[in-house]
Amino acid sequence: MTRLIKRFRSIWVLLVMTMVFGGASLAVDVYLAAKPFMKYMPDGQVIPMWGFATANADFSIVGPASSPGPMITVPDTDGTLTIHLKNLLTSDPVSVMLAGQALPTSVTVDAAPVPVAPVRHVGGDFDGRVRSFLPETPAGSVGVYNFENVRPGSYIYHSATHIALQMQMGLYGAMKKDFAPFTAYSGVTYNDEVIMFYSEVDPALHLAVHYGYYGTPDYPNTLNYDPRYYLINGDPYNVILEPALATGNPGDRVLIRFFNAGLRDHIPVLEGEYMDLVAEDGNTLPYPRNQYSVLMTAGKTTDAIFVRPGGGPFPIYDRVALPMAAPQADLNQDGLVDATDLTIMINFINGHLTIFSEYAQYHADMNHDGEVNQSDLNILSILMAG
Amino acid sequence: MLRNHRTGIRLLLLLMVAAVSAGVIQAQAVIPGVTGTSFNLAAREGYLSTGDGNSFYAWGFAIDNEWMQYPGPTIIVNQNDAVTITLTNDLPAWAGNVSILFPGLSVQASGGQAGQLTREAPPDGATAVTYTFTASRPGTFLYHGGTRPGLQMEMGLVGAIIVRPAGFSPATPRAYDDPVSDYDSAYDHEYLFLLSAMDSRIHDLLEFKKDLTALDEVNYLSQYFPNYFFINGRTSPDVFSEPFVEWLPHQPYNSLPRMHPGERLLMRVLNGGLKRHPFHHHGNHARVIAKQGQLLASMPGVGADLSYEVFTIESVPGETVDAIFQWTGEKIGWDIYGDPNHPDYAHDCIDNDMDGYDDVTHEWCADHGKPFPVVLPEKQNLVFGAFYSGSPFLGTMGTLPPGEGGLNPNSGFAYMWHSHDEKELTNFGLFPGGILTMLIIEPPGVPIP
Repeated sequence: MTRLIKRFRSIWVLLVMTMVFGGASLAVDVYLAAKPFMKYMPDGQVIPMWGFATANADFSIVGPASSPGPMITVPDTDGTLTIHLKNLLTSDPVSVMLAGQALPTSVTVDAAPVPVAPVRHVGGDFDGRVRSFLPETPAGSVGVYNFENVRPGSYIYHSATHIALQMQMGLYGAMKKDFAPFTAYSGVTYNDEVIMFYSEVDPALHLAVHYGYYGTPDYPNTLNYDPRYYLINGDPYNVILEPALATGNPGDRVLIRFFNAGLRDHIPVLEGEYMDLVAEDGNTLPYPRNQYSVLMTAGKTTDAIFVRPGGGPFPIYDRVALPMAAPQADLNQDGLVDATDLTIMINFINGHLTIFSEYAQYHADMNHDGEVNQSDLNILSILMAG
Repeated sequence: MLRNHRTGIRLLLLLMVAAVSAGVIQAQAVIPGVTGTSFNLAAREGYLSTGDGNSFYAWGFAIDNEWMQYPGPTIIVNQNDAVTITLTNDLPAWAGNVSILFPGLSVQASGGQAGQLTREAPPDGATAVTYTFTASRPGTFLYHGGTRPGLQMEMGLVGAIIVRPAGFSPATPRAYDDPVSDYDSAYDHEYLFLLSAMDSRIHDLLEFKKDLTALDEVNYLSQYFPNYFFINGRTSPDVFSEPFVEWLPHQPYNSLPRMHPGERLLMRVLNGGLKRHPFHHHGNHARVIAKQGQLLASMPGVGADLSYEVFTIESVPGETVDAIFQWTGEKIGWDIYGDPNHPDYAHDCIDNDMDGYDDVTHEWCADHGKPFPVVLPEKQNLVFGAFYSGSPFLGTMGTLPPGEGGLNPNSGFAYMWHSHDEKELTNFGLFPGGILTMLIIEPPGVPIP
């Protein structure tokens, strides 16, 4: 059973009763660094990702990056959030926006004020088209994004630059602000809080970006999105390692903040219980919706109050999940991706190998475009060269 | 060739009204299902038939010693019942454990083996898991496989639960225990619309490989691409056949909603699949009064004051929606019973209760005698649908060429109720099929079960 669960990226999470609340809350000045990191998946695969990391005020100390990035907590007494963003990516410019909040009122890059305006491509095929919704911070620079009149609620922050690529690479995180202490919105009090942050990973894009063939004919764009890992709070559910989430004591009002930074629907079901949906996208509903599940479309946040009964744990599972194995280019299934696999693929593409198992076809489609051809061979060659 | 029931209908209806006031008639349509408080279910394998002549391997829940069925038996219980459901697993060993989840119901599980989400029955055909719950709230619910739920639902392990409100009266049925209001849950007829979809590649693969890890070798899960779409476990046109027909042994339930003008039809729309289905009901809006077994109310006791009208029910995986559909012909702009001065269509509109409608035929009196607004083309210039009676007027049959019509013996009005996702109107790409049925507005007096 354990092996099965690991193998199939199962994505349910158990909530248990241990009282663990609090955690570090960041000041209203937030220091983030955008940088690459390697994500070790439970099946042994290593995925190159981009993520946000916490840092000190002069960026001399930068913590490990993660995806989702660190929770940004704006104190209920503060109306202004200033995000200091250091770009530690090797080449791409980056930025940060708060979906559902007003645009920043001012932005500086390396201490120089820049207009708060979209950035457009200049020259080339995309001349004049918007590349970034907000001013960009080039690699090595520090951008300061000043958000005022921050509203209470649950929000997703993410890069505002080349969003189709950078969000998939992992540049997103959660932002929350309470209306008052232990009050999410006016009149919505809670005792305990649970974060359920959904996202997905399509390894093909990550490898393309990491090895530099993104934008080439081998992997031209993000259109063939085919996620193979479903993440909750940054990890595929792992039956061995997964800590159950704390929900306090019976009778407590547990605030569940749901986020979806992926591109697919997720429908968490709180099995056997009901919760009151109180807000969507940071806006309170006029009347709570008493439901056992919540439709989380791409980019959505939803807040729910779960009045915790006795007993537990309380399973939450994704109603539309079809957990699956993530393929690797181990075409002869000997446990290694090596020259033999490369030879198999060459022979197939050249027509010397007419019988190609479904397994091999699936695992040889490196760029997820639905066919096995020279592009996949190019990609496998690049990956094997490291 | 014209047939006129009008006078006869009026007499019959008067008799029926008299009978109703005497408390004799239970005129409500029945959702087929199993009743009681204790149910023995088993997960079994079988084959599903589709409207294009295909069939493929599936799993389903069975009741007692019956064959597996898709969807599983509709379990109909009463509010506050203590319900016991026992599950055994007759699937082959390679299919693994099976369990049941009951979203919205607080269930205690015992027996069997511990699983991730609930207790599970191993595929030994003997070990039983017992699920017990108190049906504390009325409404419409789903039950479905809980061991690798996405795959088990895809394979067919899904069914519906209906909880009747306390004090339920079959003669004056209500879906909820809400007070009488303009948007309450009282109904004349109720129908189940359990919507789902299947990707037959997954079923074929498992049938031949007999190994769940075979799914690791293909992208069927990551690129889930259903090609069959079901209402109550059947694709169109199979939905029109009677329930329990012998040629669909694993698909006992049909979908053919029928009602009379002015009546209230309760739509219980459930999504037992993995994709959203926009369920579009022609003919009129429907008022959504409840979701996920919960009346849309601003506070207890006020009724569905947060209900709202739609013409497409967004059916979300795992959700149930209860909606009240009414059809009156009001403001249609012409006399639905034809020209009252023509001897073949003679009828009147008598509105003693001053609600704007005839008290018996439910004709909208403001449109009484208004002419049909178009001149019908000659029949040689028409293509006929199987639901056309040959006449545009309710309850009147007209001439049709040999072999045409025939699916509308009472000369009702037919409205297509279907998924608005056009692909879902097909069986493996062939139109018509999938999530497609017809609402029949039957003339007054036509008996509806």
